[in-house]
Amino acid sequence: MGELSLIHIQIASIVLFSIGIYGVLSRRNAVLILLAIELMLNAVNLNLIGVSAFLDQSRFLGHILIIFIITIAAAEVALALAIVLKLYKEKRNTDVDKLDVLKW
Amino acid sequence: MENITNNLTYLIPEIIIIALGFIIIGIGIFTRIRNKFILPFASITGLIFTAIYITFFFDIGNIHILSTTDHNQMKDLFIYGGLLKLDSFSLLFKFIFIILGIFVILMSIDYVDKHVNHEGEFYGLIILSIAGMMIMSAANELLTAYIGLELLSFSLYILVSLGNDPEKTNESSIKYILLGGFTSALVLYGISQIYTELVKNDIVNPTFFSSIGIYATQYETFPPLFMFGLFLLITGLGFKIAAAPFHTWAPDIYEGAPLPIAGYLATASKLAGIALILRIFSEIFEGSHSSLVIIVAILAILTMSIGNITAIAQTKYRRLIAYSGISHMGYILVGLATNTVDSYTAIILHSIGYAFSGLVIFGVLICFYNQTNKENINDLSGLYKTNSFLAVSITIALLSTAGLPFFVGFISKFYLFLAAVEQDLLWLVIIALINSLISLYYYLMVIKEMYVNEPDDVLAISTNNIEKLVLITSLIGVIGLGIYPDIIMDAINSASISVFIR
Repeated sequence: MGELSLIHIQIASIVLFSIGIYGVLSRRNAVLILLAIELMLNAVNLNLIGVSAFLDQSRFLGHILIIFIITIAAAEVALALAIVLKLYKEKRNTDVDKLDVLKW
Repeated sequence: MENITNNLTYLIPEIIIIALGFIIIGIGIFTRIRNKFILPFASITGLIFTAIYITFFFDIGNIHILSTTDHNQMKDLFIYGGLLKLDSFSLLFKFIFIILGIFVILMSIDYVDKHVNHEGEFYGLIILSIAGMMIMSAANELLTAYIGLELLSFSLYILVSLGNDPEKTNESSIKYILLGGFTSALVLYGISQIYTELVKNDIVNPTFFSSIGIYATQYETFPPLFMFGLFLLITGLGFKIAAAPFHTWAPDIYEGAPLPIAGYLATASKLAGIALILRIFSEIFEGSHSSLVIIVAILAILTMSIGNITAIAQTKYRRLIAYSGISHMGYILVGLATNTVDSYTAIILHSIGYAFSGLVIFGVLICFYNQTNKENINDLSGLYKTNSFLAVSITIALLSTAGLPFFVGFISKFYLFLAAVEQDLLWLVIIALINSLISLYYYLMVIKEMYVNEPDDVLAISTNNIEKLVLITSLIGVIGLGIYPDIIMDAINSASISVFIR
């Protein structure tokens, strides 16, 4: 095992991000799509913290960015879950494929 | 510490507006007010107060909204270590956002009374989203811009879900929040890539727009990772202003959202996106200009053509307006690809003119929808006979968006295309002109429906005084700016100079 370096973190981050995109595009359940979006946001956080720790040690900019991103992501998920709950109360499922009234 | 309190005085407009938003939401939740006028008029009083404060008492150096075009006399003010930049650009946009907010609230009084159960949230969130847009127009740093963007988006997610048709509203609100969350994750990854590249090159303050500009000037062609980050950023901003190929959400969301909110999305929210795009791109285009021009030009062509061609096939008026709004973002991207001071002036004028015409269109449609509950274009048939005032107003607004002379849409398109021709982008202008012609077709189809065809039922449609006030004021804006644009040109010129030359 070699030393952990920035490139490993960046690769992990891009892999996570790609899995997130794949999840958003392939999942049919609204809650799982939200989870995939969370995965993408965590990939961003991983990338930022890696760069901040390896290249930008004199400042804390990456850390600050991450704190804001975590907060905003939490707010976003709370909002999205409320809307999903509203959908579930009326339709009894959260399958996004069944939402097909609006087209064109 | 002293610095923080000093800077706070420059944020008074935002602070007033955020406080007002929470007060209105609180009143709505904790009291039972049965009068439909109290909440909107409380909101409007606060907003008008803020607008007057910005115009007359908000003094930063020499800058007022109606200031000189001499750049040497302008004193840009950076507050909080440069996170926010106060110049005539941000002041002009803040003023316009407040005006648009006032008009949207005035238009939605009757609609909210009839169709929406949560009055306090409705008006309060509109006000909070204005605060988000004000932060976006003043932001000078990626994270600040992102926070403003999310403040706007979160308010809009809730507002969209307050619609009255359960089936459509559920679908549109869930589409909006999932797609919005997805793009905001993409934007954040873009920001993190840009941050990485700038940190690698030892640039101070790696998330500031100006540092991105400094980085961009170092390269003829951008390194691939930076380009990747930039692409993701463009995706997010393009989603916000509904530029093709990121436009597909717009018609669906307009259809499911409450009608005044659809109008708000089509005017104010797009304007905020344009403000942010101008701020970011005026810096990035400093460097390797040509490679990005092609991308923006392709986006412009796609946006114009897809918007206009799809609009022809529409049968519902909300979707028609959505697609016509998409095509207008295409014209604005033509101006962005041109990238001169003149084109920036034209972009700002065009977006303001488009916003006012959009207000008139949605104002008329809200009156119509309140009394008939109909959503199709052929339901508008014979509107001239049932209510000639509404028919004439929407005709003027449609002709202005189509770009016919004597209305603001003509002047702004003329400036936009002239600026592009001067930069040897004649091919782009020709495509834009062809698209303008196509757009005339579907606007005229709507007008024909109203004047030539007979009404389905001879139910007279009435308008109350508030609606007349809003419509006439915006029409004065549309016609007045078309005949004599010099009233506002000084302010716009100084705004575009302050964002372009810095």
